[in-house]
Amino acid sequence: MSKIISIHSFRGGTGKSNTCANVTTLLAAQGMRVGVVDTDIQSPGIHVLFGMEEEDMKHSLNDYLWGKCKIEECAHDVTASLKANLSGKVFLIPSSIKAGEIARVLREGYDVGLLNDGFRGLTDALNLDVLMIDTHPGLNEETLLSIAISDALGIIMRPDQQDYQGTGVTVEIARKLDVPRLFIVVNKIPPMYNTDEVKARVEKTYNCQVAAALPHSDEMMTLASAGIFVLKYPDHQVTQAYKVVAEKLAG
Amino acid sequence: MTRESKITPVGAGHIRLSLLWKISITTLVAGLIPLLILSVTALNGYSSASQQATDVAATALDTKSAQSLQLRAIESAEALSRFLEELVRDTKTLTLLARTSESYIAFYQASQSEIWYRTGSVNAPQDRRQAIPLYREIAYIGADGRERIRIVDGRALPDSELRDVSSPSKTTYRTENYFNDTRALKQGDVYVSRMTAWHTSLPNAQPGGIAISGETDGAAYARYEATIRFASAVYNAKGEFDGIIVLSLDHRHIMEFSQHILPDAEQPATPYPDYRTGNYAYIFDDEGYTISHPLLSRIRGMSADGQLISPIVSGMSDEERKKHPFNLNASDALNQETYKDVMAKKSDIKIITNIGGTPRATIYAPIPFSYGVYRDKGIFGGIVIGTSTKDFHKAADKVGSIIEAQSQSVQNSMYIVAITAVIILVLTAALVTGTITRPLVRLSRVVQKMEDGELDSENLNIILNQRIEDEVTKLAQVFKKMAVQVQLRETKLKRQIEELNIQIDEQKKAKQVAEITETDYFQNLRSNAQGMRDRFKGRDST
Repeated sequence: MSKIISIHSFRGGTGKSNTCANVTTLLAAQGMRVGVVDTDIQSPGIHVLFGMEEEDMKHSLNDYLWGKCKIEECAHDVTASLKANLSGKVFLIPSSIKAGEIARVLREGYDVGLLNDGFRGLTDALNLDVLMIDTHPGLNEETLLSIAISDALGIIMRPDQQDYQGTGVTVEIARKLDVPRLFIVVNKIPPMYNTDEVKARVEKTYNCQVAAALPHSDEMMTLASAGIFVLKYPDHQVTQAYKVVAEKLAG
Repeated sequence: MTRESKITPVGAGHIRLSLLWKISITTLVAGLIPLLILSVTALNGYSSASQQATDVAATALDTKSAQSLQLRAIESAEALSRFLEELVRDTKTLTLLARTSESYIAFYQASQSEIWYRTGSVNAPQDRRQAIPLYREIAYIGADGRERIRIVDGRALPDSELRDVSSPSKTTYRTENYFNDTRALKQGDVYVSRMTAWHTSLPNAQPGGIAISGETDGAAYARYEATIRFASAVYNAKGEFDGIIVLSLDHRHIMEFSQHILPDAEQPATPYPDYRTGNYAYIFDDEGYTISHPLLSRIRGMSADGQLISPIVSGMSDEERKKHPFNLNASDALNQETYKDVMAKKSDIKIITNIGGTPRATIYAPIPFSYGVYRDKGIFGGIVIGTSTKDFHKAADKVGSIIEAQSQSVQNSMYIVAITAVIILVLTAALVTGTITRPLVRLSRVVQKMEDGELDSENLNIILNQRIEDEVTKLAQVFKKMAVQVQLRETKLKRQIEELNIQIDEQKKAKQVAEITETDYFQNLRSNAQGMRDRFKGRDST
């Protein structure tokens, strides 16, 4: 039985794509067939984490949305490129990074329903165990749809005043949409904070379980988006935290 | 971090004062007290030594002076004794001479001796040395007591003036018994009388021994008439008593033996002493009467009827005293003792302190002589030298004042040294203490700032950079390390404890939520959401 897991955040820069990529890899390491869709058409970024460049992209999500191809033709098997000997599979459906194509989407918009159909098609065609949706930040029709169809939602936030209000709204919306499993992941916690303290506070404030409170790590910063953290630092405490997140989201 | 844990906030100066005092006092005490003890001991020792030295010197000088005076007294007494014996010999010699006026006059002229005195007026004194005959009178008295020859002042008296002296009333001084006394002696023996004279207060003595106003005392002395008779019996060819020879000594020759003694080390001899100073010598006879004295009225003398005038007793007015001679036995205890000692052939030094305060020394020596009336006691009399010891002390005082001056200068030096030492000690203490306490004060400031949460790098670095490193420097190093750590930890703790402040405007949130949920799209989505999920799963399961 396949699941849809959305990774969402109210604002950008919370580490959403990173979290998504790492959770994806962890699930694949467990032997699952995982598809990851970059629905952040306006500012695509997850492909970088998987080491994909423009010339590697045969088809993007954009192509599917404009009816140029079937959804399964946009999937790229990036398992091997991870060089991690994963027992499962990672299929990446990237968004186009061509400036013109991005502009076009912004101008013309797209059919959200088509996106929904595309998710279904993808799951069927590739026989996925899990479909990870790397959403576009904020609440709009597309993100609401992702949330609505998700079995699990991970809301990524930073312990930053700018995130608090929006995260609150997101949590409410998610509740109203009856998302089965709802988790907050607090990311990039400055070293001055006690992570347990933060987890407790956030849980209390939003009345929502925190899957992980991830401290800001120098290694993460050094790695930046050059690769998958959990592969590079398999024994790091952050990796352990990601495992917990994956476990909770996957259910 | 609460305020209670702060160091007692009297200010950093609190440490400085007590430490500074502690170290300063310790330094000062350690340095000063031994110094003070030393100074005081030394000064005391010095002052007592100088006092002792002065006393010893004074005593020694006193003793020396007194002893030298005693020696003079003894020597003068013995010289007088020898002189008296010469006179005895003269008398014996005369008994062998031809009993003629010529031989007696020749003898008279040959027997001379010098007297020395100061004459003239007080304003214009004249010192005179004069050779005068020893004997005023030389006489031969026949066995019947009638004078056969009598030479007076070198002139033979005519027969009409010769007298019968067998009865004393016919003698010059009305009561002289020398004829009978001499006749009673054994052959060859010599009779010596006591000093015989009119008292100077008598009319027939004037102007004689009385000084006329304006005159020096010596001028009266030049006119003074007194005698001691020396007589010896002569015998005829058959050995029968043939009368006596009498030599009448000009008594001034005896007075010469005491007249010039001045008990002053610097000027031992005087032409004539000033009785007013109390520093002079006098002679008294075996009856205690003064027979030589600078004040002639003190000398033994007779009244007009040949009776001895009674001596001065206490209570007499000054006028009365001029009319009486002086006798030791009628005087105070000291004089009485002097008489007794001399008669017991003793010489001594007596020092007493007058009511006035100046100590006086009385030095006396006996004059041994055993002829005539002096035979029984063997003592002619005594020479007494009186002086105020102030004069003795002159030399001792000089020594004393030199020592005193030296002591004073040493004292002053010591005060200067002591004060200098104190100043140096105080400065040193302040300096040294400063170098100890200043870094500590700085460090305490740093610590205080640390409690306020600040790192006082400036003061800390001053300590760490000082050239002389000590335990305080080490402390400062440790403090710096700790301070940095403390600072970091504090900051960290502060931030950790700082609560994650999640501010959510609930009203705004509700509004924002409503904005979305009230859209058709949302409503639609909502009602379809579960269905979509199921369809997803449902599709899969088929």
